[in-house]
Amino acid sequence: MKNSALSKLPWVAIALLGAWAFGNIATHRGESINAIWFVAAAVCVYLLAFRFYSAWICARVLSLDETRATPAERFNNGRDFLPTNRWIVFGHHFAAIAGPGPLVGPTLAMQFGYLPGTIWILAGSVLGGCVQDMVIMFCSTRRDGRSLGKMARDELGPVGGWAALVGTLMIMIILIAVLGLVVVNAMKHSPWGTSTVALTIPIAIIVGLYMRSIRPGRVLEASALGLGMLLVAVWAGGAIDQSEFRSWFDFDGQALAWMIIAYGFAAATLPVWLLLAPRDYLSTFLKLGTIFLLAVAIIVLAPEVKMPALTRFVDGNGPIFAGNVFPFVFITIACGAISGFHSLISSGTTPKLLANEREIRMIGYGSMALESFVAIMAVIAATVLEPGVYFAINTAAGVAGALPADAVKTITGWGFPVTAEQMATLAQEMGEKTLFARTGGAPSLAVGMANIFSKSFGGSMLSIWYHFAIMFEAMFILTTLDAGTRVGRFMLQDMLKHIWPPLGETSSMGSSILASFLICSAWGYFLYIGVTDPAGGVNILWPLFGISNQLLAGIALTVATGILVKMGRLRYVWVTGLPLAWITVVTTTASFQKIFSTDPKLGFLAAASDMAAKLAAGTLPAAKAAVAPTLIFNQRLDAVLCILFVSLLWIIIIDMVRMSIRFTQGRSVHPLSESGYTPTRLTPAMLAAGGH
Amino acid sequence: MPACAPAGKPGRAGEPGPLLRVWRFLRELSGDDAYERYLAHHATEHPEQAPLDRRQYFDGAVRQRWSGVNRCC
Repeated sequence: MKNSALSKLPWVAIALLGAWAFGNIATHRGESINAIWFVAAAVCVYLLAFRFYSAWICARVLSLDETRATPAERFNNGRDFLPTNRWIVFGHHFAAIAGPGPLVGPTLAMQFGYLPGTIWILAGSVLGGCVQDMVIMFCSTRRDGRSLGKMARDELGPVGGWAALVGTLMIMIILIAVLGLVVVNAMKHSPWGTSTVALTIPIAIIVGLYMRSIRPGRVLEASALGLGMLLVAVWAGGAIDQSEFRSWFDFDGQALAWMIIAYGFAAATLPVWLLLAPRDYLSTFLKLGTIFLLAVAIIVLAPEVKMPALTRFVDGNGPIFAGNVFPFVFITIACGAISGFHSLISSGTTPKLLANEREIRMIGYGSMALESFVAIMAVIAATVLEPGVYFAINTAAGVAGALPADAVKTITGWGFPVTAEQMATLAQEMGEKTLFARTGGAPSLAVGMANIFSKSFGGSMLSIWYHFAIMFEAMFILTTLDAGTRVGRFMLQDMLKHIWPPLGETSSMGSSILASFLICSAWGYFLYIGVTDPAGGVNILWPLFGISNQLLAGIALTVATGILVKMGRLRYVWVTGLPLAWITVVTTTASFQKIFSTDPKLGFLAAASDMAAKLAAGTLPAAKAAVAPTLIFNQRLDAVLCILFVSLLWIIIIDMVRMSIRFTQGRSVHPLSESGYTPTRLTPAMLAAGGH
Repeated sequence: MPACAPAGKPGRAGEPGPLLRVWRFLRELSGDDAYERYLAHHATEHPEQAPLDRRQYFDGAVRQRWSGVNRCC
């Protein structure tokens, strides 16, 4: 290669800049630190990892073959199998993987300070999450675009396939419940937020009717119309809040939980074109647009991060969720570092669109790096708040105290000064009645985003920006919720058909309603309990979600590791093996603590016994005593779920190790299910011209 | 092909201008031109059959798109 020394110079500069920025973040102990350092460190890490690590994996470990025809080319049907321009696939893949997870998780994890979360987001993504997404995409592309569950069955056997199926369904249920809880907490007693979010439903229906009946398939027109209406809805919510209709939209948590459950049921049973598909178009545009805007705003504004690098809560006494920084920062931040759910997308629609294997690197590894950057932006949005304000918003009333005076005293006592006046002014600026105990991460993220947006783009419309941010979060949380309920329904019907075949007919009205009802009841149960829990509910559900998502990552990495062994890449098996080992250690430790810890704040069983003892002794206040039996049952159920998650993970790992040992001993195993080699006939020119 | 000129200035003959390219990218990314692509695919692959109309095509595409996992956390 000519000029090889010269061509390496920019990379040396990037490495030096990244090291400098990272060193600055890690060693800084002053009042505040500029957010630009986070952006610089993150971008340098992604660039270096993409340029060197991903290239090395693709060349040496996976041996991507540019001459090999992809499933998109071999099964081109002009529809789901379709060789597509790589930037288009990148856009689709990123839009599919980037949900509310990388925004909520990092926000909650900032109770430890900015450093643990930031290190995990950067290291976890480039060594774990990006690798998982890319390797699974490779495996699926070499197997006609098959799903993770099918690959687990083909490569490891029925045990692996079964574990993947159950794991996916469980994660779906917990995910929907916790996301529902986040939306409920953002809308609780907020007529502005509630009315704006409520308006998104008729807006989606209008867009759906437009796209189906008035101008079929005119996606851009319809989306532009819908986005315009959404912006009006943000303003209209403010007008409603000032009017006599405000009481129509002022609900407590229980009422909102029932509404969300009813909405989920409706969205799963109504025709897709009416609500689900148009909402998804709108939320995708909103998501990509807002993320882009936030990146621009952070770079323009260069805000100061006020959270310390580490807080006292690394010792496990955190108010937002219990548990030590190890393992709980790795559980709380799943999406944005490594998210098992991505493996379903990487083995779903995306591999059927790839025109050439070499694009797996950019799309698999690159998209995840971008999602990780979204998580870094969430870190910045949460940490530009005064730490006292951050804790006042995110700590449940049951922990900090129900009255503002009590809450500020508790939080100031932790060493994060905040005053009731400060919170009152902030709530007024944001157009909310109160911002105390608005748990779940969405309100504090919205306050952070509103600050950044209003300062960067001028104008002091803090309340408009705040509710725009709430609408943006609710929009794609609800999309995940209704899409997830629908997928859960299909998966459940797929299982139920083994009991009685008619239950599996997805087009049958009765069977669809039954399955939708079961799925909504399952997540609705966890959502409702979360709403009634005086400690906020998020503190229980989010770790459970993190554990289930890491479990799915563990399953995906196990399948990938098994495949690498059988491909004869034993010496490179650490590429997926190390992230797998880390995930296993983290998930097992976290589950163990959640089950067996004697601290009632952390351990499910300890909490159940503690509450049962207090209930028996009659020391609980009446309101708490009324819900105590439900909470006790729920804590025990959560413990059982944890046991189930960890057992599933260990079963599939042991199955893979057993298979790998047999393979290295030359005994018979399930053969590699890779499809045969077919040379590609697509030329770059054909792809540039559309490739269809 | 139906006209799909953007609001901006069109490029020189043969060479699409940057605005037109962005517009085409946006249309393909969003699926706005999916029906036109389907017609082109259909004309070369199955010329003997009549293609679906816009609405039939759109219904099928939506159904197929929402039958699996395509949104994440």
